[in-house]
Amino acid sequence: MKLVGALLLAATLPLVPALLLANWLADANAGVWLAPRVAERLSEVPGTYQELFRARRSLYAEQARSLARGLPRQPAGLAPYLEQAVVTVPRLQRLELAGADGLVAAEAERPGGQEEEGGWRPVPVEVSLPGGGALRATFTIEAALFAELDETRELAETARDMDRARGELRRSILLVFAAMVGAAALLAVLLGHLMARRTVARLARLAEAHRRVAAGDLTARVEPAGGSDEVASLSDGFNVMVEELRQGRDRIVYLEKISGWQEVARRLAHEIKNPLTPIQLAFQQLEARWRTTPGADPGFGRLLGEAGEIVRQEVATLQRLVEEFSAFARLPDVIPVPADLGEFVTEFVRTSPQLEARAEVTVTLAAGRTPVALDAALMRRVLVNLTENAVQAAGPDRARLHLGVARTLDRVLLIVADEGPGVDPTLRPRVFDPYFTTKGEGTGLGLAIVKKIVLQHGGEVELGERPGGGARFTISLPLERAGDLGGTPGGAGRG
Amino acid sequence: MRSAAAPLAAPPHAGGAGLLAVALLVVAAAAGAAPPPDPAPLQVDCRAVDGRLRVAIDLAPAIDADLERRLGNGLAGTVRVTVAALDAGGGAAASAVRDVDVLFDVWTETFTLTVREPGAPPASSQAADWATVRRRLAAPAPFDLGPVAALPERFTIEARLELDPLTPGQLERTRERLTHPAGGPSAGGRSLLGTLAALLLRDPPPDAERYRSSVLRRAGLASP
Repeated sequence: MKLVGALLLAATLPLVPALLLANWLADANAGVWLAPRVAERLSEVPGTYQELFRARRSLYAEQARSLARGLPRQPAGLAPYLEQAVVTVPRLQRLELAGADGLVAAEAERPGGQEEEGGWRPVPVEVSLPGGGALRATFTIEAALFAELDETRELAETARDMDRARGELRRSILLVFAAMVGAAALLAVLLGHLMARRTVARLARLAEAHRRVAAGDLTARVEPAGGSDEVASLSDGFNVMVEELRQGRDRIVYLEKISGWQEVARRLAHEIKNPLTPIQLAFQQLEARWRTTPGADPGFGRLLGEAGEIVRQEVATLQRLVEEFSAFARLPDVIPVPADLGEFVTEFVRTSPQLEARAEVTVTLAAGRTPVALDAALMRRVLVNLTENAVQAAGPDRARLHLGVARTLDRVLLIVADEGPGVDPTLRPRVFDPYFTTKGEGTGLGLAIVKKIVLQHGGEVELGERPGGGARFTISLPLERAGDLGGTPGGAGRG
Repeated sequence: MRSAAAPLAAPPHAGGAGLLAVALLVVAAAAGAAPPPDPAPLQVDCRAVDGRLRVAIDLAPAIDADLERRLGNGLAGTVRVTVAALDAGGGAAASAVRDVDVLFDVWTETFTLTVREPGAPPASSQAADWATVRRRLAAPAPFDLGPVAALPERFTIEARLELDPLTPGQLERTRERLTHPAGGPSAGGRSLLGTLAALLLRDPPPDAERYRSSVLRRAGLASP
């Protein structure tokens, strides 16, 4: 809501100055079209034309009176006088002298006839003569003046109408502007709400995942939201952090469990080892006494021999178990030093003739360097355990092993694959548990030791299926960024 | 006689608070926020003729020197007279409107009056001087306000005199100028914003002088 409110405020706040500006612009614009002075002057123009027309009529009247005063007394001179007048007096078109009886005594008209119709308007003037009769003069005035007057009048009336509508014009312009800005603001709010809702939803999912992690559920993840904004970056970072937490917790839990099992193994080894020697010695004494007893029963002798064989075999088995338990209990911590994993694997194969005798081994290395931090002795034990498992899984047949080293952006992979029967998928989650075994014999500690050593290297080990059949163990170790291989293959640890 | 142009109304001044109110409410400032003045007294002669109310009014007080100046300047002017019978609540029970177009011809220096009202053809006449125009405007022909039976028992007659109201044609021309600011459809360049503004353009509120009679009774109407 705060986000939506902020967007709404941001969208609508510019409305205020925008409307103020629009109001001023509308007013200023109207003032330009309809500047009161301009409209006022336009409305005064007809008055100016009226003055002009009056002046002309006054002029024409005076000219007519002047002509009347100059009329010759002799009738014979009237026609020439009138003819000369129409030629010399500007805009005088026609003169007509009427007698007291109303009859036309003389008349004259400007040579050239009437001007093109529409170019002039006639202005008749009549002057009464003292002795009766009248002098009738027809002057002309430019028709263009009337056209100009009509046009100016139309403009002035338009300006007056627009002025009447000024208030409503401003209102309608402001309404249009306000509607546009309002629509833009509404669109901004809607878009902001949609964007905010999406962002808030993503943040809510992130908060929920955080709450689940805080409650101990390290399977909580935020769905990839797409995009490259801060929330997406935060979500990706959260997922990475939780995954690292989960892996770290799982590592700690497993190591603690292994540590517990190591203590159990130590105690078992101690408790089992102690009675083995007395058992063996006691039976040896029994056998010695029978051999030195005269007249002993031969049947009892054979039975004693068979029982002795059984006791010796089982004691040997128990001793081997004790040795394995002791070795498991005494498993040291990893001390890694810089090394190249590819060189390490190559050296392992070269120094394992017993492996070459029992299996066909192919090695595939990465193109470049594969620097890691390695405890060579313990990692060799890892390879021994994994390859021994692969050879045993092949049964009487010669095993086919594939060792591979690969490199990713920040990890180095060690792959040990065989072409045996593989491991039942339902059993895969348990193969790294101590004392779990699918074989008839053995302590089931081999893969637990592998996982402990790999985890202490900061890596991961997982069991999968090799394409084409067989088991595939993938060990992932951190890439050593320094790249400076300070030691010989195998490192300077317990080589 | 030199006709002085009627002074045009100055642009309305809107204070900052008023502009802010417009901005917040997104509505242009309403014109005429102040209540109108009370109508001036009106002399009337009401008669019932063939069951219809005929009202003769005296507008002499309204025909003043200012009106002479505005109608005698050579520009075409229109005097709109609206006569209404109002009931007790001020609602118009009946009304009639008549426009008188007045044009002073600066060449012939005479007036041409054209009376236009609904239901009748325009009637033109000439007036040689302002005095004649004044007489005709002050005492117009009686107005027909419809059936007497439709009137309330008690009513008043109100006359509104408005100078140069915007006609529908003028408003339409204003809309056209907004839509085609370049000058007419033939000039091209139709303006979208102008079209929207034209759609929102409404008649301006009437700027009329009001005159009102005393209360009359329907039963007391005289017959000719």
